[in-house]
Amino acid sequence: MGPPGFDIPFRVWNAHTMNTTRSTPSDQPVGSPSPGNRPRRHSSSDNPNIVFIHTDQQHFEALSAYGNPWVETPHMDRLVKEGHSFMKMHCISPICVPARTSWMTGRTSKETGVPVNNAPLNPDIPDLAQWLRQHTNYETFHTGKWHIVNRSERESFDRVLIQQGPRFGEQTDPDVARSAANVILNRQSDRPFFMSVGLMNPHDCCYTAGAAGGLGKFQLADRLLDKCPPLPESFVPDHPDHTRHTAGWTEDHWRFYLYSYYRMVEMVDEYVGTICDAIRKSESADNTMIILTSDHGDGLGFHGRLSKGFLEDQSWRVPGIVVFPGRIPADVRDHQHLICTLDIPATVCDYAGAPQLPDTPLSYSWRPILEGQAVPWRDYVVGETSTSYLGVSFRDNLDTKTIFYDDGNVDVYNTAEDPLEMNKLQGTPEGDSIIQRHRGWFRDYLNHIQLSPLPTWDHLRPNHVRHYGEYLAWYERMRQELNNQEDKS
Amino acid sequence: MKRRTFIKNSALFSALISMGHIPCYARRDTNRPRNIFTEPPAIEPITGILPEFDPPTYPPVTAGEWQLKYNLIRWHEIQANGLPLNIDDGHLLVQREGSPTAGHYRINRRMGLPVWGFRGSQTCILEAELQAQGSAESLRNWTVTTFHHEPGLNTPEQPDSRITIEGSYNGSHVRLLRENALLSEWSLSGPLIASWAIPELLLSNTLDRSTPFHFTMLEEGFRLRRSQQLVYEGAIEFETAAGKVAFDSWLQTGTGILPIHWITDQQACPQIMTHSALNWLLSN
Repeated sequence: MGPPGFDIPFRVWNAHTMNTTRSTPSDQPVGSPSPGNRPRRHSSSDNPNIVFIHTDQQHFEALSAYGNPWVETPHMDRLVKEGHSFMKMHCISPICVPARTSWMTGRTSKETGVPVNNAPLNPDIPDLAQWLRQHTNYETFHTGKWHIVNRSERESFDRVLIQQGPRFGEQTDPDVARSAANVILNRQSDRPFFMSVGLMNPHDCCYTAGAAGGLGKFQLADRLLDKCPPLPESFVPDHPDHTRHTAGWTEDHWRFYLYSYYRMVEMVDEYVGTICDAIRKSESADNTMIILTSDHGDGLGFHGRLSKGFLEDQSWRVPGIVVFPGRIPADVRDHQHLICTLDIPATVCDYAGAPQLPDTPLSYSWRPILEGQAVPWRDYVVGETSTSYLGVSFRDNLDTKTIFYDDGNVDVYNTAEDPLEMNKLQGTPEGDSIIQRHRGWFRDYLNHIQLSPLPTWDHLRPNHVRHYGEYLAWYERMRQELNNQEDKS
Repeated sequence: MKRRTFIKNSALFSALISMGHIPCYARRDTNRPRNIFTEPPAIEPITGILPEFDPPTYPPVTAGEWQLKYNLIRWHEIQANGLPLNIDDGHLLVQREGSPTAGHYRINRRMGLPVWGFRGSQTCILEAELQAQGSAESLRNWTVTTFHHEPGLNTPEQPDSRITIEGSYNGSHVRLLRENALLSEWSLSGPLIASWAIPELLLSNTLDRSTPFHFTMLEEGFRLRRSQQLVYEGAIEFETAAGKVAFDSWLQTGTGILPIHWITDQQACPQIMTHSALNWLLSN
């Protein structure tokens, strides 16, 4: 429960009626910005510095502040204490490149044309850093992991400190954190700044010797078992999606994976601390907003799954914390609002006094929520994946969830009563009712996005085209079906 | 084909299949690791480069005074042959002077971070001086300077990248300062040991092999890794460029690290440190 004035009565609200903090769609190309799609809220002197810290593959409950006894994250815990935690934060697509492309553009993966890793961003879509440079006097910095294809961070930001290097947080995160801290402490300019800090861990869990071939140090599992977390209640040992890395793992190996994963979260926590200590000691500490989130979560053995790419909550949901000392209430755990990493550009633009990025009707500024204003908010949040399977998930304000698959199947959960998603409701009266409601969200969603056409630009791989083509066909089919159903009703 | 030859070939083929050495025909044995060099786990992250590793030999170490140069070996990925692809990303030089109970360390680390989509790398440099005291070499004062270069070869130092942190530990508080301004402060008790000074812990032969040693590790000169434990694992033998060599293995576990193995030679000098992605291999 939040601070006074924070309790917004539930109302079913249609997304397209919102007009207080969203953009006016625009077809302005990047190179010829308009003076602004809507008036700026503040003069430039009021615009805060914004430090956007993103970890990689962090489970939404992988913080000790949220009651997880298997990990110690004192620095993220401090952010929780100082800021606003979105407890229902989701990524738009639980895989690195689509997720990162979306949080820099405010567009879904089917709008950016990036359904899978290594797919190139549609070059016509502007990103947040470009937009700030064109519409504000913000100085823009990036350091660390970027992972957006077909758009170099050097094209988008004024300065890149540590360019994305080897894929190991263990090796790069110390220098990435130091580079960010350095600029924050040394900077002399009066201009406000936006800084994107890409920390890699706990993503190293994908590459530990044991996880990528051979048991390696996983052979220590039996000796460290007393330190290894128990397997989750929903663990199943024989999930069909097991990767080649987990084939043959015993339950002890799975538990050692959890142990290793949480150590990697602790690693990155220290570097979050480095950056935040620098912000707190900087001259502009009182005027600097921190946003901390992750591109996607990790299976952590729930449902016998590992890593990401699927739409169960472990992969789909992420931590989301905003700190802005003196400007927004501290120690808020917001269990009410459905939040998406797609909202980051809208929020940054709102605070930076920039017009919203063009054609981003699903990207909502968090500002009214953070500042305790009672505003209508979204009815549902959406996730998409092209990894493992083609699927779309919806969660709504009744805490019900569906995963629609392209073969026509639907999984249905009441996550208020069944947070581990262990009880599928399809085929029951409750499940059928939820599906009907969520088909309405699906229709609403399809009517709000502008699908990027089948990409024709360079560097395409066959699987990009296949995934994307299948998605376009499925979405078109669903759009017709759902709109016809709506017309008849 | 003669009957004898047929039987001989069939037996050989069957044996290879049962051992999993003919992948197209072998039944997948999911209970076996696929990297046949994963035993022992202490060296698994560097088994790709071990065949080229010739353990340095040197005259007896004078107590408390030594200089060790390590190559920084990255575990990058598993190759088709089951061995890790190991890449040399730079070096770490650790020098210690002083008495056995009061050490002065000089550290120089030069590490290249390859840049995606760019030929060459970005060089990150760390220089540090540390003062340690007591039998466990607990830190007292230290200074760490880091900076990096623009991506590419022979590129200039990146503007604003240089930062110097001064640290101190008085037995109850760790303080980090930058330009005399307090940056971070933590409460702490017990020994605080820099990761670069752990070789001295091992070289000094002061650790009890039957009792775990507990400490807090200072990493990179500016972050704490608490609740560390170092235990003797036992003797270990493996193949190197110099043939099969006997070592001792120590296992470090704790908050914020994956299990670290320190592999020491007959003079108790750590020749190898394996973590996960970033590992040390003694060069001289």
